[in-house]
Amino acid sequence: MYMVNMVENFLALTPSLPIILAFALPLISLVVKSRRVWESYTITASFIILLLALTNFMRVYEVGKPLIYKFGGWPPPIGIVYEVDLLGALMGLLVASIMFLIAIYSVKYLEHAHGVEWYYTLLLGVEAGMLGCVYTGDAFNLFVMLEVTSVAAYGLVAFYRSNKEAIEAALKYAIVGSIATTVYFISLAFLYGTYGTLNMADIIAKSKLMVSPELALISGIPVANIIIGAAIILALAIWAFTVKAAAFPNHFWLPDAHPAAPTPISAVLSGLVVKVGVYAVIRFSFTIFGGAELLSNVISVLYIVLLILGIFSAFVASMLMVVQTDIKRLIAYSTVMHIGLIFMGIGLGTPLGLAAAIYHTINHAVAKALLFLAAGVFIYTAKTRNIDELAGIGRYMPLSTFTFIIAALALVGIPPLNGFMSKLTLYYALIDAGLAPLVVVIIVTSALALLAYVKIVYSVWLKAPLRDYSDVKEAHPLMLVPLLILALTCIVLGVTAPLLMDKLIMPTVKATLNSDLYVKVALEALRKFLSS
Amino acid sequence: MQLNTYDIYTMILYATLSMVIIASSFYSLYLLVKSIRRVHVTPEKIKIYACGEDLPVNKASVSGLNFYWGVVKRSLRNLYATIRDKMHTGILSDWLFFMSLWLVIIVITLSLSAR
Repeated sequence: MYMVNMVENFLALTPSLPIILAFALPLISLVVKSRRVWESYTITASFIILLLALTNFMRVYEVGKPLIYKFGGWPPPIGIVYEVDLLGALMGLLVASIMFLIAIYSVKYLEHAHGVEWYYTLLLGVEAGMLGCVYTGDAFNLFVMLEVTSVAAYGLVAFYRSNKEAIEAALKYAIVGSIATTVYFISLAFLYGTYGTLNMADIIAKSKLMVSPELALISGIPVANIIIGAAIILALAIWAFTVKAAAFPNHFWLPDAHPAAPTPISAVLSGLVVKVGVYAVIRFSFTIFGGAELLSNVISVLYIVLLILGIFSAFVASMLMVVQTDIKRLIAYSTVMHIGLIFMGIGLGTPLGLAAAIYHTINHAVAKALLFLAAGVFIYTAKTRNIDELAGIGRYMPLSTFTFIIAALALVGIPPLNGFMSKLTLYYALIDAGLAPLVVVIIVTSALALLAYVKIVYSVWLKAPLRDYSDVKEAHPLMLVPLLILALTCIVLGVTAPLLMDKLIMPTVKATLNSDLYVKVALEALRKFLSS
Repeated sequence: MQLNTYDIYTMILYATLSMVIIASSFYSLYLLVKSIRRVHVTPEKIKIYACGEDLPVNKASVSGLNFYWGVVKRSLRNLYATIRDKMHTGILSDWLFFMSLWLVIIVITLSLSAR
């Protein structure tokens, strides 16, 4: 019992700790003027958060049902709760793991930068926001956590504040992001107006017309037409999430923000921040509204819309990838392309399609973080992002180039790397859904992506150097170790695909679709509260 | 299709392993042949002749962009003119136009589906 309570507290602590530590860092920096202290502080903090996220994941996996934390002891739907199922716990672990590696990498990458205490403050802030988004069981709290993530991300994009390009990109990102969160806020108004609640479990119960005297006692019955209400809520919320996920045509902010931001932040944005948008789309279209018979028509149309959106995203972004000369902008378009593939999986609306989407979300997060961090090593050394000007630099840092190639091959979909396995799952999902011709989308976009990555590898590895790099050595261990860990993860996630699908991905799909269990856990908490 | 059978993943892994073994064997053979037949390159041999002008090797390289454009320059020009020059202008109001269009589409589509 004590163990259960402790793990429940860990749920709240996982997003709260980085927030507290983020606010404490500027105060500490007033007293302790050593960047080594700030760096160690952030790395230690992110390591503790990783341990917490791992504990949460293991506990959720072990008990086989969502864990719940009631803020202030108030149960759902009275108070704000964190309700963490396997999808939330897995996403939390993904966020915490990659953020830990990025924190280590940042130490060397930003060794000459000024104001790093603010960088680390915002880095912890963005981590807190993302963890809050994937753990929360409350639609309004999701809005708050999206804002926490976004505000920290805007600041990080503008980190090089003496650079006009960075300020412009951050302002554009902030304007587009604020419009998105405002639209999501409007959808929350519709949500409350329709359902009389903002708790996710309560919304599911009301959408599925579940009879629960306890919930009816607290939040009443829906006060408006659920079908029309849900259609408007979903339209507005999904639009807002596609901005966060950088899906076409809401992706414009991403290719501008990447070149302007420090490279570790590009890895955070493309590897993780956009995945929060994907997570929210999955949560809304499957767990919250997906299981309701009453809304089946709306959900079916939503899936078709998402499928078409995914196809457009993948095509347009892959076409744009190949004409880029800026390495970070090229990788940014690759993100839009992969988000398109993920949306195609979601848009199928089948368990296998969802499995492909979740598996590709994980694989893309790992491979894209690796690709950005490896590209960052070249940028850090050559002081340029132009692909042609990076000519030949890879020869002087073979390990970094090797990790870059692993990431590129994984994203293109070369077996046995992780990207191939999730694309293969998507092929099967498309064939299983009777949409075999759409497999062409994956093949064509992957071929275009291969062309774009070959351009980089050709320049970095095969072309004669334009400058004298004779004094260039392999990347510093603080940059290289995260790269090697991520490269190894790309290989392991691919080679262990049969095991992963069986033991992790399919259980996550089942947990995501099991909205009855999600409601049951919330109801148990409410009943326990009412009986006490 | 059974969701709990993942034989295809295992088959892919075996196929990849075989390809790696075959490729490694051929590469080893190539290295062996290369080590037996040594080619001697003189500095004169790699020097570029450009009408008598001094042209370093690294200055004679072609932009990586040509790798793509050489193939599709004409065939996809119109498509690129739309997606690059009209959509991705970098101007916020242009972005918001396309974003609003998508908002209108999703709101109308889902609202109609609720009828």
